[in-house]
Amino acid sequence: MALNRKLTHLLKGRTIQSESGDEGHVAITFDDESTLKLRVAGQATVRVGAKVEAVHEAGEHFQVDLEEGPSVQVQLADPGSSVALRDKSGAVQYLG
Amino acid sequence: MYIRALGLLLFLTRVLLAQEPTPILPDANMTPGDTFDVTAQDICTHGYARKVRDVPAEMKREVYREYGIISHGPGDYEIDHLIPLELGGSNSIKNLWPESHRTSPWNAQVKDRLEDKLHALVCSGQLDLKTAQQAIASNWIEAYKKYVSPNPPIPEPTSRGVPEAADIASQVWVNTRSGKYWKPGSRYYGKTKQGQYMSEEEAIQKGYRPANGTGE
Repeated sequence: MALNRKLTHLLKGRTIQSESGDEGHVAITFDDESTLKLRVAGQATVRVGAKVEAVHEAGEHFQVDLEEGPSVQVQLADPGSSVALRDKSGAVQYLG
Repeated sequence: MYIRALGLLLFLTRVLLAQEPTPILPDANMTPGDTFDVTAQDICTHGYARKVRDVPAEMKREVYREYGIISHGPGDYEIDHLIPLELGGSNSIKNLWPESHRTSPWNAQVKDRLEDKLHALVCSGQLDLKTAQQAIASNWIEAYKKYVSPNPPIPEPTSRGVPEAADIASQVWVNTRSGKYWKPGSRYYGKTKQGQYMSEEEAIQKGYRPANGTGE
């Protein structure tokens, strides 16, 4: 799976503070109050307190590697249109 | 036997070369258009489009496959966002299509003018973002006639220094503002507001560097 350099550059070192979501959506909030929203097919389990190491992506496969513990793996609902990262003020940091 | 094989090869080559770079409009079933969940404020923020991930090469190949384009020359097409990034378009395959640089008068350069115009109208508050997205997604040529000019553009194949077909394979597009250059078929080839075509060798000699390290 290819490294998503742009998103890795942004997320590396951020700690997952909370996770929420409903059917088809996951929202991960980080310690800097930024929020990563994913549109997913299926479910995702996210470990609060873990620090992001890297992000990999290939087609619908999306994976967040953490410094400790297992990676977060999700299946994107629509590759290219399912990932959005905004900072604490709501400004767009990344879309993909 | 050898001559027959050579003849067949020549025939196939001619068939491939004879293919016109089409279409000028995307197939609405394959490319209905798709957007990110963004507002006019988002897209009008300076540098917004740079925050969107580049379309992966594999997805570009998939778009060509989807449209049945098995072979194309350098500079024939670009993989275009039907609803452009600057209007909130996404990288979903539903928003990507092979857009011709060769057709006339309707081609990629002309659509760029429409995209810039719609972006300016949205950001000046004269046009609603959703309206702009729907207009360009439903029929970009009609949108051009409505928002840019009712008359078809006059073909200007050399207005931006576009090289002749025979020369294109050896040309890169230099974004003279950023100092980076793009190779044929890449995302910003011939698309930045400031730039010019030149050979890669000349670009390097002038101190320009390949975008993203490779120019692709």
